Amino acid sequence: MRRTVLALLAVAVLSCAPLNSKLTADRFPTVGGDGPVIGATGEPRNGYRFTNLAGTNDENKLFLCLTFSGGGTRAAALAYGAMIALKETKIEWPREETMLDEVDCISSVSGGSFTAAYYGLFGDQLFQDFEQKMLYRNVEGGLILQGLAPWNWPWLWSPYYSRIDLAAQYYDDAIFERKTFQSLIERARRPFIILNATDIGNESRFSFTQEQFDAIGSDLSGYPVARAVAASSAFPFLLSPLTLANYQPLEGFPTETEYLEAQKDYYTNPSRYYWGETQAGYRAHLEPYIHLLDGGLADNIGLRPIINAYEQTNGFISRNLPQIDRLVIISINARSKSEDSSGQGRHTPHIIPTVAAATAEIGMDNYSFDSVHIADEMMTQLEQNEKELAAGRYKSSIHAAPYMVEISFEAIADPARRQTFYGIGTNFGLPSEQVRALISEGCELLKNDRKYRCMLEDIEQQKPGAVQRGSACDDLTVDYHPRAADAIVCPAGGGWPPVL
Amino acid sequence: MEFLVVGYDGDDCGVIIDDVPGGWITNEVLQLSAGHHGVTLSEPAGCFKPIRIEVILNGTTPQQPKVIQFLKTNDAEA
Repeated sequence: MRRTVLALLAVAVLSCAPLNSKLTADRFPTVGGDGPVIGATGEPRNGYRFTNLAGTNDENKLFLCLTFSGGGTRAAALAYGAMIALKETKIEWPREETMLDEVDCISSVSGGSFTAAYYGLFGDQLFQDFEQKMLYRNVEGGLILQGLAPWNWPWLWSPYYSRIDLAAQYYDDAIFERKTFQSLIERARRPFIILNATDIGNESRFSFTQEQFDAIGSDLSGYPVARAVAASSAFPFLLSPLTLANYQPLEGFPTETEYLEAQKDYYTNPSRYYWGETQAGYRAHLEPYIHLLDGGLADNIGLRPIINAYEQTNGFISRNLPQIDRLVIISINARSKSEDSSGQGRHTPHIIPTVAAATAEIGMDNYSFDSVHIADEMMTQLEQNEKELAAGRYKSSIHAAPYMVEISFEAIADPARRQTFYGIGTNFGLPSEQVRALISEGCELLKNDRKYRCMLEDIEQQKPGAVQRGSACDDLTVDYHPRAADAIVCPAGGGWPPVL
Repeated sequence: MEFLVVGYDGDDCGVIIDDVPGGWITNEVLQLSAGHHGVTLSEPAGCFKPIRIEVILNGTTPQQPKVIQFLKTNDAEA
């Protein structure tokens, strides 16, 4: 007995969760010297980055980015339903294909990260087995069983192994087939998947991309995708933070210029200034470890990486903007709006769960609202700028017609039905009838969205060989009837919720 | 966003902003974030001057961009 206890204690002391590996010069060799291999246009050619995924100028004509919000299985299912609608949308411009084939990037948070990561790793296999492997699975129940299993206890006693590591292992075994980011690199095709967590030390968004890992001197390629998804969905209080090592970046890589320029912008561009400060903080190696929680704490809708990709000099949208004819952002927002009953009584609400949940969720929802507003403004401004550029005396290559589509339960016309969907839990284990209804609703909401339909009508009116400016869908009082949208067949919702 | 025209009296060539070679080209309006940027050209060093121009973009419009100018040097002509 004593030997057994000692053995268990030894396991506990020696148990460590896997860390990210260090970026080494041989992994990123130079052309005749130290430093990374640089492509013909100057970008690094190794690692999981947008520029390393297949894409030609022609593929940039229709540039489509999706964002999947947080919200547990309900967010994963709503995003999955929207992807069915994209797969069902047959287009003829710029090629004969589906809208899903045109997706260039997916930025996701928390529950939405399960759908995004699975599609990134397995492509259309998503539509064959994701429902059974993830959406209809009681993930929370599985996690509880893992925690109760005696053979896991020694691990959990270790200070270097925590509930989040157990969750990551569970996702790795049950859903993601132990795939690493190397699998995403080897697929070498878009969409570029951006899984987002929150760095609680820097109080900022942390994306699992090689650009972000360059700044911490780490190689993302061997890192399990399941651990990134676990970090992205590590809801505070329920799961512990996930730990990464912050190594010293390689000498001279990545280039510091943009960070240094950004750090001069406290007055001229505060958001760029704070971004520069955060990135410089990693480079300065102030802390040897980074602890990550749910991506929703910094941005619960996943829009900020897309906004940055448009605004920043090194952003993958800004760099490709001159080749883009139509820039489309579709945001799938599974935000909740439950009927709060705390105002019914005079008594002080309990710390747990009422105050704890409110502390996390109010900030997430408000920040999400701001993100959508900023993205909307950004796209409106782009259109206005292009009109002025066209009338100006200087030549300009920027001509992208912008479309911002937001899908949320707010678009459900019937108030009772809308409130029922808002009331669905944001946990990772929903009744199957709710999952089925969410999949159907995600598809129907996108199919019937006026901006989505307007964008498709613009595409259908595209004259062969000529770029026709989009209407940018200013008039949303019009009923649009594009063939591509009318032909979408969504899965049945199974009669839930029952008509009240 | 802010607007910048990088003038060059040689043939049109690539523009490098903050050491990032994007899809930018000389003699047309570029759209960039507000603030400080370092600008140079993708031509071989010695073919143009100055080597680098530091700009602060703030308050520009598509119709009134900030304009900077690089000049082709004698080395390039030779």
